[in-house]
Amino acid sequence: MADSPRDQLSRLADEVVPRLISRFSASGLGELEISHDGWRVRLRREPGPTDGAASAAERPAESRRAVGPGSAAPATSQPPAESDPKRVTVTSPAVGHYQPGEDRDIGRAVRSGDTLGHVEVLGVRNDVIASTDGVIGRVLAQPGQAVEYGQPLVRIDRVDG
Amino acid sequence: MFERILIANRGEIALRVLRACRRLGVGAVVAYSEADRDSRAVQLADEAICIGPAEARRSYLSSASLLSAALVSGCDAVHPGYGFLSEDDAFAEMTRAHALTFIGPPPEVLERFASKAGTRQLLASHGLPTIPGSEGMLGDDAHARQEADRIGYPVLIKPSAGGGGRGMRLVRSSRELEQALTICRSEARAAFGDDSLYLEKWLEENRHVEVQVVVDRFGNGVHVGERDCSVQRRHQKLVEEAPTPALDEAGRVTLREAAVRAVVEAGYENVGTLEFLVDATGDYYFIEINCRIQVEHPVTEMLSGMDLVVEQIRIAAGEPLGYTQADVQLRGHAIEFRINAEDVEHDFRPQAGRVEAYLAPGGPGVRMDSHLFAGYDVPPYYDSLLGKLIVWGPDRATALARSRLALEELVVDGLKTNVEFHRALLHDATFLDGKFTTNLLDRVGSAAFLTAASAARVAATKA
Repeated sequence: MADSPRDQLSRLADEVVPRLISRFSASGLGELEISHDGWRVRLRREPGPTDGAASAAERPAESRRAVGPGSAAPATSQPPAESDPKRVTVTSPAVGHYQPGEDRDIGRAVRSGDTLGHVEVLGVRNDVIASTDGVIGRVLAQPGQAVEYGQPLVRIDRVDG
Repeated sequence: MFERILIANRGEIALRVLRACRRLGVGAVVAYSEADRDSRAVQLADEAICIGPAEARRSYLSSASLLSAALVSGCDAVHPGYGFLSEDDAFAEMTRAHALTFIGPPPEVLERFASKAGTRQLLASHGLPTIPGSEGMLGDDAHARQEADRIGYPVLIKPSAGGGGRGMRLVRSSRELEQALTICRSEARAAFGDDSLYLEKWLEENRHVEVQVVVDRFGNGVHVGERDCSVQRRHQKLVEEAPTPALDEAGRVTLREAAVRAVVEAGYENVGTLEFLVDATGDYYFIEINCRIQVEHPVTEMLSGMDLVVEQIRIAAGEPLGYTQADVQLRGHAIEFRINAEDVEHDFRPQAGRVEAYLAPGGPGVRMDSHLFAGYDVPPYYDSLLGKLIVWGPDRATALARSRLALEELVVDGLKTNVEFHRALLHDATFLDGKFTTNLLDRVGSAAFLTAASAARVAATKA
């Protein structure tokens, strides 16, 4: 037998939402939206001084907020402020879906100019190019993930030879 | 109705479209360039997507980037705003090809009205008197010279791909023509990504009067009155008002009805504006149609109570108008002042910089459409429009009096603006008596105008 709308609301409030909140809080996400069956829940985190487990070098920088009430910043992805010159972040050249190249896992050596993958924009591949020699230190976007222009994709760690 | 709309524009119009989306309960996704990361529309959006670097060619003029942003964010429609790709039929077609709805006329209607010369012929065949102009786009300079000789100087060079005064230049003799063409081509290329030009005859002492129309998919159309946009500097509008002081009520009614009848017969769809030149005898000549929402649309909204951006979205979603001409009520008088970041004393040079303080005026009949906030950095890459102050009153005198007060209240500190210029304009006798033409500002010249008007203002406050 189908739940009455009252039961549905009850379950949402008592079970689903608290669980969502606790998982969201433990994540590094800035914003999460889920819709299902006519219901939509959106959780949004106010930018704060300490946030999640990501290291300072990789956490997206906070965007500047307007003066005034009710102005929470939506999740943005800016190129992180790299304090370590040995770590170079390669960012997306376009808005689309990211596909890493073959043999581009963590630990792989790459040379400046190598294709690390591509971003598909309306069926057209935009290559993601390594800007330096080094080793893939971290993968910041998943295969098939929607990415925006300037979004961090891959971290290359320079290795002094 | 759409679920989510991608707002493919920036500045004050992105905020305006976002407000219409909120009004309809539709999700608003803002596409932005790196230079607009901290803009007001981005702050308020349900989702914001960076589509490219500051350069318009790689962001707001990049069809692929805009449509890709719409698709990755789950949008089902795209609002192009004004300028940029708002009248680009190839972009509208590409939008449709990706199963998204372009909020504006459908691609085939845009294409039909894309050729300025073709549109003049089309609407002439539906009863509108038209302004003489070049046949089709200009080819090389020799072709341009030939057309200019045929039309007769003075001629106005205009860009085929857009409006807003960019890429336009008045030429009074063949000597000036070649250099003016070069300048216009590069301005048009920068503003619209297309450097095609055409020519139009220029009538001295003319007034620019345009008629707002709204036409649904089913051929139901209404006019929403006209606007007078004669206060221009180098063919860029500075102040707009409605109704036009250039025509009496009978003249206005005739113009409005002729415009809407012609445009419905010619198969137009969605929100649009027909531009006319009105000469000293009150005769009108059709110039062109703007197949998009215009900067000065709030003037019409104040008179009618309509939300034109909501109408754009509703029509694009396939809804019928739901009202007739008799339901359109035009009350009172409204004036809009474009607030630009420009240095009036140095040739109105565009400015960039940080807004240190911003305070919008208020009170009865006062509306401020702006994306500014204290701490906002105005980027140098785009047009200089900071916002619009629109003031309504039950009659022109009240609207003018309220405008004076509102402009005194308005604060935009941190960079140079034309606010002082508008304050001076409200003490200029020619503007106040409503008998100005498009020559008003060019004839007086900005420095002399400011000096004389400031003197009048000082005298008025002492009186």
